[in-house]
Amino acid sequence: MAFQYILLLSRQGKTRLSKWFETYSMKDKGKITRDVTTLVLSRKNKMSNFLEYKDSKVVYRRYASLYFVAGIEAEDNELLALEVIHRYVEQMDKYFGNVCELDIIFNFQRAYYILDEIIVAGEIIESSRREPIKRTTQQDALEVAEAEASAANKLLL
Amino acid sequence: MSRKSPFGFLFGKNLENLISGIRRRKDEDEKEAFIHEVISECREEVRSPDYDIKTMAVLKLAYLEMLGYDMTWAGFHVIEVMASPAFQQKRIGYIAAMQSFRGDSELLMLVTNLLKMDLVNKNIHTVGVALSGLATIVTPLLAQDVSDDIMRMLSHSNARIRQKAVLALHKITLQYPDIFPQALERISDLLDSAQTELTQAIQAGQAGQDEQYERDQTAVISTAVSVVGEMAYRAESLSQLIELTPRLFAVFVSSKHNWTLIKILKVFLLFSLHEPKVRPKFLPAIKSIMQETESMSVVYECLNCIICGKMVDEDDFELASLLMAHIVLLINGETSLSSQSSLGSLGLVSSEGYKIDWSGDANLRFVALKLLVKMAEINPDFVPNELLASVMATRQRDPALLKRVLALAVASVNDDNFFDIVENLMQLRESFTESESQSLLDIDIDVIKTISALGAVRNYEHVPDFKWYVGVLGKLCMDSYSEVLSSRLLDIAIRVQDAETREAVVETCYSWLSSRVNSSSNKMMLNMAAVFWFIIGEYPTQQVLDNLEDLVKLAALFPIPDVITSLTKLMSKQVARSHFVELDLLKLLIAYLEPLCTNFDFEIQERACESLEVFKLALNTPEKATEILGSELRDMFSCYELVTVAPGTQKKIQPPSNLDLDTPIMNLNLEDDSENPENGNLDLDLDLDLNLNLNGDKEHLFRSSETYSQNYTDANPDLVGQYDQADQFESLESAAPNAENPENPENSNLSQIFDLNAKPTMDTLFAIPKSTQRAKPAKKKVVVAQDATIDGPVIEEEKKTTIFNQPLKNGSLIQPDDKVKVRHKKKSKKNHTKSQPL
Repeated sequence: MAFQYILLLSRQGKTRLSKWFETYSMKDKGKITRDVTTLVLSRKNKMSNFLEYKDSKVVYRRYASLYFVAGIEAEDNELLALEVIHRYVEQMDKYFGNVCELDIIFNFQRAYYILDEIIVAGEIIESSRREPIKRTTQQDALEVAEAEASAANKLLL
Repeated sequence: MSRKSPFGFLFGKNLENLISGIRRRKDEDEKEAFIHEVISECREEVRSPDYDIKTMAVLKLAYLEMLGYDMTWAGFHVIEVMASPAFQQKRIGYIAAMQSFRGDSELLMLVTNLLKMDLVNKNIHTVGVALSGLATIVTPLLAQDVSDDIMRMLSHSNARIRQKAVLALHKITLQYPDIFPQALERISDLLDSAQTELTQAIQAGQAGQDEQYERDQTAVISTAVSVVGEMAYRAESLSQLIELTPRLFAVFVSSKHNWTLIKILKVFLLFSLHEPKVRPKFLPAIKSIMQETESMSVVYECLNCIICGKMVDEDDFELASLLMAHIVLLINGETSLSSQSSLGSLGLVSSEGYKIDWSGDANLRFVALKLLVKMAEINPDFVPNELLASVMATRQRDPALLKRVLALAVASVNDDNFFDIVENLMQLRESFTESESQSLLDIDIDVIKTISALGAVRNYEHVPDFKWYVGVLGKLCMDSYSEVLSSRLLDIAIRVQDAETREAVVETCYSWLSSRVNSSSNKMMLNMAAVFWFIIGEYPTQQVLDNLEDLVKLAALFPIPDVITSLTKLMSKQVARSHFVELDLLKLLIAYLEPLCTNFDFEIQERACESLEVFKLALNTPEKATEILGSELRDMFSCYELVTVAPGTQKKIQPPSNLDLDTPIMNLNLEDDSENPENGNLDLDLDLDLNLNLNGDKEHLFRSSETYSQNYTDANPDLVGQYDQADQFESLESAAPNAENPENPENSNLSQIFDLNAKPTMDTLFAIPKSTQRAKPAKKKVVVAQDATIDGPVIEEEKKTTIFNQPLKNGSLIQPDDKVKVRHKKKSKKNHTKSQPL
């Protein structure tokens, strides 16, 4: 009933982001990433966005050069998972302004922050389109304020 | 919105250097070297007293962790960063912790206090980050320590914090199940209060002034419902959770939030399976949501809940047709069904079939097909033939979709559509033989399996014409090697007691075998060949018997023992039929068998020698040859009819009352044995159950294993009589323990020969399994005799069944009202030994 992981993969099969909502060993993470990458990249255009992998389901969607991949449990609603993926992309798009692969590569921690405002511990927590972006921006503002304060302190010393 | 500058001002550069550094290096070795260099830099940097540098290093490590480089060694420094008062640094610390902490208890002890402090921080962002972090890294110990804090936070003034707290609480109950009842109570309180406040807010703020407040409550409800669903899926018993039904139901009928509805439907599905009484209450509500909603995912979830929650009765065609209408709409990508409730009234069914748009969204097709399969599994008649035909005609190429189509075909096959489905699948196969991609090869195997499985549905009830079906299978055999196919043909040959069908099967086998002349032999091919040779030997046609010579010539292609048995059997049948021994043929056979007597394969050697001796005997005594081959040899194969037995039959068999598994077979009642009266009871229990009786202490066990071999030597005449062939073993084994006894002159002789004068040796130890070996056949023999009493067999498709030599008189094994008389089948190699001569 929940997300197990979210992976962002490039068309060349490089991992751009990986978020694990359950505890996996380094070895398992590697294996899942490799297997899922192979599966997803071999899919053709008109095929459905769902795959079966072991006991779980893999839901993916391609946005430009990036594949957004979610691992969900067998009983989960695939369509819902697709909607969540889409919501995530929407949020990043707003945050970065026309998000592209490079934004995510160089700001991976920000991609994490946004994801953390949509999914916590594998469960969807946001209900509106405005909320996650608002939270992330607020937190960024906090960072900036802090940084300015500390810079000012340094000048004073 | 303006593009954000790369991370922060203070150390953005540093991370950027790492990332672009990796990207610049195209050579893998170079890249690897660069990364290792960065990691060793980080090892220094994390020790820096400057928190900016320390944080940067942790962030870099977190990036590398994502690419598969271990950072668990930096755990302590991650905690340092988490403890930083600056939010920017704390946030990075938590990100790194979520990625890298894996229940390391020493580290997490340090985290406990930090978390407790962050959870009561006056800055809600810090609290939020701490909650997210906790939900990911929680361990049983940590769960115990913070559970009270988290439960208090369910009434936090900030809705976002309440949401995160309820999720964290769920993760805590997973690690620390003792607090489940308390947690559930708090969650249902939360659900109650949020629902009440939402209702009040809607009533009060009719102009929609307090939108934010409404949204907050909706979000809290949604999260609480998710957690209830999560708990329901993991709970061992739903009895506590099901008490939440009224609350969830109230949310269900009032909520406009699709994601919440889906989560509740998931829970309802479980409740409906657990407690059928709720079904009449749920069904109308679900139906009305299904009709009103505009969200495909909600419609899908409604259908799934009704179908998988067993709310459709096998004979409820009215509900079924409503559901079918929705499924068809789903495929077409439409949701509104308005008040119409059947396919006909929607104009979806016309004389040309179903108006289904198969070119639409592949995802909707996928989920709709899943639902159709489940519908057909409840009652095959729920899926009309026209709809199935329409599905089949789409020629899916996507493996995931095609698998559903195949499952649907098997689930909804009937007398009328069998032919069409099989023909359709055959055409489908033809359409992808040109392509050679691996995924298509996999599909092809699935298609073949489906064609084979279709026949077996309800014990071949729907096969319209066996001759045709066998022809189809034969064609598939020619195209690809699959043991599924040979098993299916064997099954048909045995079960379908119809001369024409058997003839068709044998012809198929014959032409397959003779067309192998130019193909290389691989394991799969030989496995299939073994089955086909068996079929030919068991049910030879006139033509086969007339052309035995050709078969003998063909035999050299197949280096498997089954061929020898088959040919021996065929020879006996041929002589029995013509009452005349063709000497040329006999000589040909002998010439074929002679070299095989020295074959490196033991099984081939054994079979060849056995058959060869009989044939030689016949050749040397021409006056008796006809009798030897045509009568005596034949009787060895045909004294019993071949019967197949349903899986699990053997387990139903009661051991006969006179089977004593407790008394030792032999008991070496030497003087010292009287001290251990319990010895006698130990041995057979041990080796039959392979289950050590561990009641005693170590010493006890040791002694029992000693007497073990001793027990051997004392013959229990009742049982040993059955195992005459084991006599030699006994005489040797009896020597072993007795060797220590100088009073027995016979044994001391043996001890000189075998040098057994020492402690128990390998020989005596090895003696143990031998007793097991001897005990087993006894059980089997008994099983065969008792088999007749078994009730009507259960047929389970694709499960291997066992076979017995069994008089066919036991009518219970035959299903009298089948169109064709059918017996149970067997597939394992053992049935070749069944009629093994000598």
